[in-house]
Amino acid sequence: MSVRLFLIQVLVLLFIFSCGGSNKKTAEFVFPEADSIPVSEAEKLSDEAIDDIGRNISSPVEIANVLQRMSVPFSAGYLASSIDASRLSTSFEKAFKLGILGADLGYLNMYEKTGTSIDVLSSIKKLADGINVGQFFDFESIKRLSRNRANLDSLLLISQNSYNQIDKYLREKGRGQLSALMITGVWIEGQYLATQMLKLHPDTILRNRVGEQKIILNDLLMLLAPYCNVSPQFTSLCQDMQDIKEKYRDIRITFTVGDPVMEEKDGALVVKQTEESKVEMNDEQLAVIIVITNSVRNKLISNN
Amino acid sequence: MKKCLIILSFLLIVPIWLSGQSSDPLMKKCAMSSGPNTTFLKDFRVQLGKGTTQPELRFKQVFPLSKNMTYKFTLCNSENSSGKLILKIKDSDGSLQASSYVSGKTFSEINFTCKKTGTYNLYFDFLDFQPGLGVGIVSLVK
Repeated sequence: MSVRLFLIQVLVLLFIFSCGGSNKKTAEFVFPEADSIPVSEAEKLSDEAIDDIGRNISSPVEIANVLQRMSVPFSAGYLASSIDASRLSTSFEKAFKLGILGADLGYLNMYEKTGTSIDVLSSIKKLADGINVGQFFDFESIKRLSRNRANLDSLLLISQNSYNQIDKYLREKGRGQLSALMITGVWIEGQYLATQMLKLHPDTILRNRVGEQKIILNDLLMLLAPYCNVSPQFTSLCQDMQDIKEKYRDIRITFTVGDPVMEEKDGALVVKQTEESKVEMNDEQLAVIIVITNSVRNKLISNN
Repeated sequence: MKKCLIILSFLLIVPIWLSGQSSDPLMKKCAMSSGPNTTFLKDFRVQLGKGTTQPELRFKQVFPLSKNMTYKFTLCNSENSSGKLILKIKDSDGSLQASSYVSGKTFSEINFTCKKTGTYNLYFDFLDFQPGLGVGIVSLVK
């Protein structure tokens, strides 16, 4: 699974999934506004629903993948290098910054910056140990794999899987607030990377990806809602996320309806959607989102 | 007393240490079989008993998919599994987007090019509601 190769798949149509006509039409994509889901309601969400929301946060690896496809060069300047893991005292800080550094690790690994990733891994180890989830990281194996680029696929697999396991473990052990913090940290760092790159490298796909975060942000706020009053730190974080959400209020997402097309190629099923989502976001709206993301992210990581 | 503490510590620490190891060889094997040019995103371990025929597959998970990304869903079965793992992908409205079981034929790989960002429901089961153990891997195709 080489990271360097980017191939375009050539598809051969064998059959169409549905014989129905495409009959495309435009419909409004309707989101529940965050303030329509009061905390009291969010607290009633089932564990299953909370679990689903948590999983609904895209991996930062996907953002890194988009950046690579744009041929955007790696920049160490965007990493959260100011985080000093040994100075953090609360579980809140450790869990949130574990998420931030997890996103950075994904970014580093995708760009094969395995030398730098060892430094980040040392901080991740301290933070993971600090909230008693260090057992899910096989740091020695990850470090060993990091020393040889040929092991990149294994490195990505282990790193990604470690975070998945931590998330699952925290939920199962009733420590959902730490899981929510970690997921929020992953999201804010991914959003920061995407918006900063957009400033220097305007690109439609990346721009749309930032606009689409309106959907994700709504879910993220639902995930955080049950904990927003448990401590001043949580209250402040919820307010920061709400501030970002507010900047997304007038961004619209619409979609056209269509039937997926399926085909067989080399024994695998290949499916292509014809239904399509579209983001309506002007330059001014994007600029505001870039500013608020930068402000919130820098505030949260500097609070050592 | 000291011995008791040592034994107690051992009993407490060993399970934690063991649970931290990436000890699912089926997951690793399946992830690595996703082929070149992919990046692992998530694994779903599916273990089900014999079920009765019903309108929907039994193991449901939620996963976000983003526009202009191609995802590979790889389905693997444990050697001892009676049933063969199958998958249906539906959008948040419940509309079927893909199925690994089409016209009597099963596929162990689905390459899904997403054009509509959103939350998708992944429904897993074993063919004909047989009992089984398997793993579903979601990877990003680059």
